[in-house]
Amino acid sequence: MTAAVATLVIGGILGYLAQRSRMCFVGGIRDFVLIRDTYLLRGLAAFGLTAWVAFPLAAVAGAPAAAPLDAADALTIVLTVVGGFGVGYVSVLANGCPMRQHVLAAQGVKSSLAYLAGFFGGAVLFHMVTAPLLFRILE
Amino acid sequence: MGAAQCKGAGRRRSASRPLRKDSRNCVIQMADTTTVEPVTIGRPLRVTAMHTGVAAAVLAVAAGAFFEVRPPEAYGLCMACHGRDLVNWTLNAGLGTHLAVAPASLVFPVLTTIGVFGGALLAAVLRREFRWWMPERPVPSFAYGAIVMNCALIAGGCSIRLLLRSAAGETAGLMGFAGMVAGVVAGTYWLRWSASR
Repeated sequence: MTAAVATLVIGGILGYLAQRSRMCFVGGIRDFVLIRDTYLLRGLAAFGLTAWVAFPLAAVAGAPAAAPLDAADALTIVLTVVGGFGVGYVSVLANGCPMRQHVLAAQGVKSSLAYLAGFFGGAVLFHMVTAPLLFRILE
Repeated sequence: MGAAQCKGAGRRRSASRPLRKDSRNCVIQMADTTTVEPVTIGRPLRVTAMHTGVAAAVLAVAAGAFFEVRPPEAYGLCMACHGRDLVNWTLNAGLGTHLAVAPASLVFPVLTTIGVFGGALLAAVLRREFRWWMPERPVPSFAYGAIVMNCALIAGGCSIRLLLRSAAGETAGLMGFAGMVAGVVAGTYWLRWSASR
């Protein structure tokens, strides 16, 4: 229950800031490649660097010790890279990362609402179709 | 609302500049400024992407470290995984299915997606930026959403969590983030190529 309330509040803060700043975790790289604009890219870099510093700080501040990171086998890494490539490629086509699409949908962009319908439908599709199919191919 | 609210707008008053557009869409100014007043579109942005990035990182790490959004590690912020948890948990509770959810969402699902939607809605309504935009292409958008969700669940995180996993020191996360950057660059070049054809 703690997690649910905390993520609701955190999501609310983040959604507000993201709407005000047009933050997008994919658009930064796209804008840099297209027009050498670094406004969104600086947000992406700030997120990565802050998280990199904050993880050790949280451990020092008394957070429970992290579970040891499971050693990734080659198949996991290949799947992660391929999935990451798909996320990046299709997010550019869809005009924004998933968080940006949530923000756009909340601003009234109806094609982003259609995106969200596909997004949440895709979760069911993944566990009904994609994951069993992948297991069958890779076993 | 004048152009003075835009950072550096005063410098651009000089004539003989071509038509230019501020990178934040603040000011569009004609070449001959002696007769045409600068037109301000929208409000100047006070929250920058860098502020949002720092806040998101602090909140994401804090969620995992202090608010029980774990296991798995580096799970504090992810639109895809948290959306999956919400959908699957609701279906499991309502229809009695047995779809997978993360351990953090076993008792009650994480609500990041609802929070982001609500926060953005609040911001849009407060700043009077909410208005209905007709769908340009709803069917491709629907397909893009489904594909992004499937790819993100294969990779184990959306663009945000891939970077969060990299920051936590996970090799697979870093490789996935590199793959995502490659995908974004490839998609951008594809868009540019298809637009110039």
